[in-house]
Amino acid sequence: MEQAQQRMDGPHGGALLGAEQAAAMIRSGGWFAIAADEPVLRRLPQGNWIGGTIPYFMGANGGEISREKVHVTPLPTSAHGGPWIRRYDAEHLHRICVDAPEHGYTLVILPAMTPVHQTYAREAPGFEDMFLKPVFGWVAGIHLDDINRCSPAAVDGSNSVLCSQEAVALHVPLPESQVAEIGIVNIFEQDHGDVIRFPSASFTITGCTVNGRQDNLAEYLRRRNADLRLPLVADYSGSMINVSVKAVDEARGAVELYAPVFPGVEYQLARPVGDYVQAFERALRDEGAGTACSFNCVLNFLYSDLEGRCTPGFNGPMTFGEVAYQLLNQTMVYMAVRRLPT
Amino acid sequence: MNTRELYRQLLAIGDPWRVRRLEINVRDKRLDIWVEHVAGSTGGFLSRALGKKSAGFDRERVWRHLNVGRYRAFVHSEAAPSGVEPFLGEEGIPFTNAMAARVSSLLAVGTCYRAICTAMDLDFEDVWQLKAARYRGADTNDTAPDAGNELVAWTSGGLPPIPDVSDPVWERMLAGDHNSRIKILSLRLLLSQTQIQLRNVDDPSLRQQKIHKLRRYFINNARALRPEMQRIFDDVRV
Repeated sequence: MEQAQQRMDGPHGGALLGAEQAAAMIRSGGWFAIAADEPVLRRLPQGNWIGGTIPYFMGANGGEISREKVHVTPLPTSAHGGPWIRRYDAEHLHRICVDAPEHGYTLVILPAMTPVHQTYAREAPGFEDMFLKPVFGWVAGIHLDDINRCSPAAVDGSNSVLCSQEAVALHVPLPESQVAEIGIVNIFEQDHGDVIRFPSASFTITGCTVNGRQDNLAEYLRRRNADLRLPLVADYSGSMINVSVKAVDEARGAVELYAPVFPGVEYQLARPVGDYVQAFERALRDEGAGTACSFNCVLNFLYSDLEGRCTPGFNGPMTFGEVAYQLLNQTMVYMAVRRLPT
Repeated sequence: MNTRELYRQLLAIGDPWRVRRLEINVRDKRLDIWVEHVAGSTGGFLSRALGKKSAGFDRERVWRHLNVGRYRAFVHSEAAPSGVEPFLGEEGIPFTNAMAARVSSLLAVGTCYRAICTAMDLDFEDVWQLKAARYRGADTNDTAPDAGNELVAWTSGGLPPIPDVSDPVWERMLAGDHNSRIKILSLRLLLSQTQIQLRNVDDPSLRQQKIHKLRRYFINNARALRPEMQRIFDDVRV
């Protein structure tokens, strides 16, 4: 692939380290994206980094759950003009792309299950300058055993502040000779079956239309005996965008989703996938090599039994949601820096 | 001509309105002007004196007006909000009608927020509030001159020319029938999002805004898109 060949030398992906090694890297300078469980993040020194809570990783030895290790990704930056960190509450999140450099990229980390997460999920496609500047990132989460006991948080490493209600963004200018490229690797495709539409943007679904007829999504999924590990998939001009099912409440006739569906978008159930790792390797073949930074979804980790299994070409945190401009589910997101032809 | 009359002329405040009070803050480069309706000035005074408000008068509001030289100008008035008088503003809009029209015209031709805020020394939140209010009220009738061909600088750098907003290539791209070879994620998402926003909406000015944004995407990313930009346009023109 032409673009892959042009990707730059420099920081390529990150590494899963002990806390002391991570602290040493922070002290050595450079800018970093960091992921770890909350107590470990609290122990890291102040410095040029942003981070988020998560104990699920893909490391060199395969998928791993660790409350001690730290995933550290060095980020490509420019020698001219340093990156800057901004924190956004739900009210001010809409200006994230306006604050971004005219030429560069923005890495954003959102704490899961918060108003700022929901605002990004629902409204990001309409933010000013969205899609005009590269924005990518991930949703911070917690160990599934800790649900209802701990809160996800994003971290502003410049002053060691854990933000449970704010998104933390790193705006990074790049030299004119380089460009940040955001891409996704999604193994799921539409099954070319029923077409499902929704009346409004929502995380909680009751009514929908199926092939133009009014229906209830929970009832529809039950009738289809649908595998709830498979997402709903929408075709955005050729890019497959997933929305994952969180739970079905048959008594209420409601379906909870990990990301909102949108009105005016046609969704279909995903075609079943045989072996995730094989499908991932096929999808990654042209995309993943030489990425500077990447994240994959914890649902892929869980549903595909990735603990102890490698996804070659990718290492990074396994997250509660991914951002490639808009919020995604069950998708790997990567950023690569390309050198522009002179 | 006294100072108040001078500012009345500078700010295009016509009869029967007058400048009641002026404050100039040299350090902050800020100008505050209190205007009142001559016929209603007594009423305003009496209303205050009597502890009640007469029809057409309300609490004092402040709207950001067009700059006067290097000074930011703010108009204060107890008159009811107006969508007509250029030096007053509408309820919920932070700008006078004159300033709102100027900002709307710049947004309509695809000028980015940062440029507008920088050039006019405006607060981003105020511009966002104006745009949000315009969308809510479907007041999208602001017409604005075409941005013109701002691409001379780009095309002279060896990059393929980016068509003008009037070129049918943009409508064809939005129709989505010839975009199959577009591989860039951001462009795919932008196109899909725009198609969704325009579906079932019959508003030519909104459509123009979206075409301006789509064109701005190509302008902003011209160098990065260079390997495939010409092919994208060629495919769409077929």
